[in-house]
Amino acid sequence: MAAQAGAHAAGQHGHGEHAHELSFVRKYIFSTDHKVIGIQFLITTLLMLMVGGALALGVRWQIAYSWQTMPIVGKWLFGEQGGQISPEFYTMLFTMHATVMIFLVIIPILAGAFGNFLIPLMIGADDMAFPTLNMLSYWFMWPAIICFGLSFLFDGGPAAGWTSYPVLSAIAEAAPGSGMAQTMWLLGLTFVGVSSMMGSVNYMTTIINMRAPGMTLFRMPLTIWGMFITAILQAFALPVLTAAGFMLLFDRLPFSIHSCFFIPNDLIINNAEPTVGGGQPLLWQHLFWFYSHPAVYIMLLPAMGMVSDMLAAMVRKPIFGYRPMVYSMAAIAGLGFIVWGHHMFTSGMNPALGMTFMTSTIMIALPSAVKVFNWIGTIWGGKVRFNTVTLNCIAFVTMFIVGGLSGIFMAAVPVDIYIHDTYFIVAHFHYVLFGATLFGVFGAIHYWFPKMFGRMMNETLGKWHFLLSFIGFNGAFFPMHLLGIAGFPRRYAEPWIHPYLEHLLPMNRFITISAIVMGFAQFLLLANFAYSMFRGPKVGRNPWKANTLEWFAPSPPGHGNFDVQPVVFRGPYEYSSPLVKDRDYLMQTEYLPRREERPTEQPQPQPA
Amino acid sequence: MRNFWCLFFTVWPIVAVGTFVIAPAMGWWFPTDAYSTLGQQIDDLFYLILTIVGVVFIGTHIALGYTLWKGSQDPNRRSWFTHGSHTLEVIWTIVPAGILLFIALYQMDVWRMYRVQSAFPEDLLEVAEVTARQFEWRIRYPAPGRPLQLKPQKGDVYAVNDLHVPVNRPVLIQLRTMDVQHSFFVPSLRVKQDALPGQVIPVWFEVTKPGIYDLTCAELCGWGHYKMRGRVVAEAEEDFRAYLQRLAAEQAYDGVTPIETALSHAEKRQNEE
Amino acid sequence: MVARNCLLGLTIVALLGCDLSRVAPPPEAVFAPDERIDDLVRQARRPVVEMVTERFGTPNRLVAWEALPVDYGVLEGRVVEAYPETDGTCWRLKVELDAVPEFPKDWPAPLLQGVAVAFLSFGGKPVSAGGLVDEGENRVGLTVQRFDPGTGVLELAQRLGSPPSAGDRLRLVGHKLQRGRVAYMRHCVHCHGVAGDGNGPTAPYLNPRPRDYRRGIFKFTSTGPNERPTRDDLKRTIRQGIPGTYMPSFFLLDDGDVEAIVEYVRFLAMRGEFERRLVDELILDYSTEAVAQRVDAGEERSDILDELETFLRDELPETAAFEVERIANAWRRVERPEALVVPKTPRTPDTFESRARGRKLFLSKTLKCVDCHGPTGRGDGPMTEDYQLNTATNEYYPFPGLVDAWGHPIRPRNLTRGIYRGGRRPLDIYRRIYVGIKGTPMPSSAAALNEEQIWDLVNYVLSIPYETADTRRQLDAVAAQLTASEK
Repeated sequence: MAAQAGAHAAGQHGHGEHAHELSFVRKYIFSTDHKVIGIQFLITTLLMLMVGGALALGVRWQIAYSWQTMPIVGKWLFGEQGGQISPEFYTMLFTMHATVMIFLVIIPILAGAFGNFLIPLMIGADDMAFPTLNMLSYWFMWPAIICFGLSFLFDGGPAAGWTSYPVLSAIAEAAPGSGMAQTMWLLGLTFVGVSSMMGSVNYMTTIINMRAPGMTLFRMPLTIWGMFITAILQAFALPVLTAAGFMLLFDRLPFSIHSCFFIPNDLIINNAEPTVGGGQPLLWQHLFWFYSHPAVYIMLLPAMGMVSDMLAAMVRKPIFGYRPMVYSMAAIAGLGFIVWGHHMFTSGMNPALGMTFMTSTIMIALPSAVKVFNWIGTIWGGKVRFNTVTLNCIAFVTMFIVGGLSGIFMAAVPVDIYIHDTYFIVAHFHYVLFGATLFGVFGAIHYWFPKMFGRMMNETLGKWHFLLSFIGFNGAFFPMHLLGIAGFPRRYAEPWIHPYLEHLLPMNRFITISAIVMGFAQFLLLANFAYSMFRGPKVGRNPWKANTLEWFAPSPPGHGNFDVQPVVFRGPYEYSSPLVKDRDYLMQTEYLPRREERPTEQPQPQPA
Repeated sequence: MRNFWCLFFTVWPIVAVGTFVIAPAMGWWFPTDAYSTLGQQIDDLFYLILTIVGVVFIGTHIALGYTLWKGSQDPNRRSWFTHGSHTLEVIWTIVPAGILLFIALYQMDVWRMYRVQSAFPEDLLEVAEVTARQFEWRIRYPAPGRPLQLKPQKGDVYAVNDLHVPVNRPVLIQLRTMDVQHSFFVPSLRVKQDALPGQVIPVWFEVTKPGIYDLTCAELCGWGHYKMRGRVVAEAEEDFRAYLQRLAAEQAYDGVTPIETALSHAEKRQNEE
Repeated sequence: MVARNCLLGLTIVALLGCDLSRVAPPPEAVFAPDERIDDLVRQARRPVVEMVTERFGTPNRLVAWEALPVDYGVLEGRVVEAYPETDGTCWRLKVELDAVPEFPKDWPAPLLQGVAVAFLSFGGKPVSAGGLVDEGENRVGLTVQRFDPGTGVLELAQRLGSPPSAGDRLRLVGHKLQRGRVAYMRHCVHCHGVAGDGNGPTAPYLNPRPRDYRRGIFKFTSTGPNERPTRDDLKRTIRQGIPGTYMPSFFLLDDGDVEAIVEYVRFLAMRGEFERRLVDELILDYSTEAVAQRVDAGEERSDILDELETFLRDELPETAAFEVERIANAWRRVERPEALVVPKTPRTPDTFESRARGRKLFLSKTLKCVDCHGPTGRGDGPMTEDYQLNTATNEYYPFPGLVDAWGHPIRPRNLTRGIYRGGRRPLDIYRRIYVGIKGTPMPSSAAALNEEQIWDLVNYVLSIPYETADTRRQLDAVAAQLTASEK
């Protein structure tokens, strides 16, 4: 009873602090409330998802219907040429597709939206450790969006790929988009970095310092573990990218210091004087991938955590192997720092490095495999209800299996020699980033929506959205494995001038049509989201009958989150516990009397 | 409805596996067999990994499908209460680790032969210097009978987008770029190597079948990336020498002396030597 | 319910998405008019545009004007059977072509669409008027709608008043030009532009700018100074590319495509020249500026416009006929073997003496090679730092360095890099020296040098050692040390 008293006191304290009303602007726009910031992130990134998707459809259109007028927008593009886009427009399309999707959708939707919303709620804190920093981390995304947006306007947009390999990106004359557009792109990247960095510092501090009483590290839900490890990854890897970005900026800006970190000697580009410099383009690749490979896990680990939480709640079963799950996440993060070289097997770096990176890369499949087995183990013997959340979680698992397995081909250096920079790579990372992460995110949106807005999302729409997304996604990306095996290179504006690819045109048309289906399916999600925000059925605190702390708070939680200070007594996954007979969940905050005081004592059933 | 979803998650892996099974027959597979010695080894590795990966894929999906089906049958069932099994964790850590380590170690050798210069074959013939530029392949052969030098020499023979190599012997090209990063990619030979600005990278391969193979660029090099279409012509060594002679004669053409005359002079000179 | 409606809408949108290219007809490409046409008074603009469009058509409806020496691609054949409609009109024929060319696989369906049809005989009687498109009542401006080479069935886009009889000869004109257009729009248009004005969307980023064909000036030719290029010259440029520029080599492009592109480029060049001549004809007296000046000088605006109308009615057609004759002759002339610039003596053996003589010529004051190419051949002569006079406006260009005929800055070749844009055969270098490079300050030395001297110069140019930025710096350092020690 002492705990309850304590909780009551904390609740009173909370009420006292937040008695005054905030103005609309402070409450919904420049809010320091982590939940508002999380929802701001979520809505912004969902809109960006549509932008990135539209760019992707542009890419797909050009590949399958080369030089034909694009539907809908085609009239306004290149009218004098008969609606035939220019090749640099195409390079801009795929560059910006990747940029928007990675930097403005996946990273912020995981860390920004769900990280913000869930971390304090799930660890029982009333807000982030640094609320103002948190607000800034959202608002620093906007300069990034503006910079990326502006980069469209200069010279047709950046066209060096999202990897921005120098020398193409370092010298303005090297490509149409390598002028001011590339500079804006780099500035945007820097702002995104600042935003992420603020977030990750905040998350680490919050998770270390602000956990509720009784919330030991190994009682934290896996979501929090995912976010925590991601924040650490981010904090260590991001400075390298930012530094690399500035080095590239220094190389680019003619009026600054004439550095040449990445520009070697004696290149003749666009008929200009030969370059003078002793730089090394490989340096950029090392620095870039030193961030961007961990970034792949930044884009995956939180989703892994969220899926683990959702899956356990949906099958009413404790997560299978909680500690191995945590350790494997940590292992992925640790190994993630020493595998960046596998992006560079054909780049001409020292072959001895190739061997090292191959071994470390292949070994990173191990913790991933362990996680997959554990997820299947979690479902095994559970009670499966096929609602939208479960479906998306299962999709996450199967897509991740495909993405993980196709990764082994690339990790094997000799095979990578052939596969590298073909559509096999495109298939692989879309299976991981879209197939796994985004399906995880779709599930998470449906799962935590009631906590965000106090209303449920529509199941029917959710299922249709899942079905169409899943079919569209696999229709679009599974054949790409085969394209890759057929030696179909990436980033070709018109592959059909190469006779050995001609027979793949029908398959590409199929891919494009699937992509269109998948793209339009996302309108269902938006419609469901907008509709349910205002019209969805209202719910109580714990609609999913889940164990973790956020369900202990009201839906939606008020300022300060908890009306009663939560105290944690057990791990997050005590579903179907024999300790309680009448229900199959046991919240982390619930106090059960000691064994001898318990009213009914039953022998515990064991799985067969 | 629950059976529909069970079926759904069972059918899609079947479709996926089926696609891979019919792919070679449908032409959605390697453009040709590997016509280089290293390429054949790469293909062997590919099939090895494909087998392992296929087994794992099918295995995990059978497990997943079974657990889903089993779990969805009785809506009133109570889930097992278990936090995992130490033995299982150990098993499914050790077994994949062994397999993965095997894959990693198994292919070190191919990689070593492909890239480590001390492991290159001894009787390498330095055929040409290939310079990638936006957006074409400029090729420089040494003058017939001369070795290839790093800097252009008088008498060097030039071509564009058309690399000739002798068949059935290991050949080496010096790969470089004049501007940005490119990548020398011959799908049928399973050769790919980036051309890195500021570096000259030796690439060797041994073509095992005479023929004409597509050469493409595999690293984004600007708006015209897709335009870098070239070819590698593998031919018997005599044909290769004759081709070089002819190219050299054509390149020395002054508008007056017929090329045939120049050719016969060159042949005579060579015979004398 | 909501879900079902959404799904329905979604399916419809998705289906539309798949086939939108057919639902909404794509915008048609246009030949951008000459830049100076905007300077003309409004009344003079339209006739020019109309005349050019009438003679050359639009990108999607090309016109084969027989006055031009363009190989439009002519197919001849005879009618095997006509399929008249009930009302006596006829639009489907079965024909037998004398020779069916091999069409590329990706030829835009339907085959031969838009190709002009002319009957050489009709109803058993020969059609009198010479010319590809006959003026006879039934047969003006006939084009093909569809042709199936398998069955030989040819569908006309227009209806004939009466059916032809079996055995009538007909001629299909323009398939090669069409093929050229298709290939050009696929491979060339990004840089060279729809009208061949060197102003495609990618062009602003390229240095040197892509060629503007509309003056008929092509830099690297085997023909004499001021002459048009031959078909082989254009073909060679397409096949080999121009090293040192963004013109890549289309070495592996299908032969038929290359030939068709060459024809289409010639067509565009002639179209541009024709348009340019028409504008030239009018711009002196009828530009907005000129008219304003004349009004200031006391003339009545209406008088000027009347005068313009008379000119357009009475003189322009004649002028046009005259100009097209000149253009056609210029292009026809170069296809004769004697138009080629070919040395009479073989190349002087590449000896030290010959090179030394060549070097002397290179450094000589009369030839002025060093003014642009610099004493070491690095392309850094004094002219590259001078401001040049624009002869058209009599004003200096706002930037230093050399300028080409199109007003773009241009740099003399750096002869130490081993890059020879027009080709590296001795013959090519010979021609560059003999003919010059058209449209650039590189002059023809045909008058100043005899053949031996040119060969000496060729030997010298080819002997200039290869330099990278590094070796160049080292050499410069050595040179600086030498001068210092001399002092």
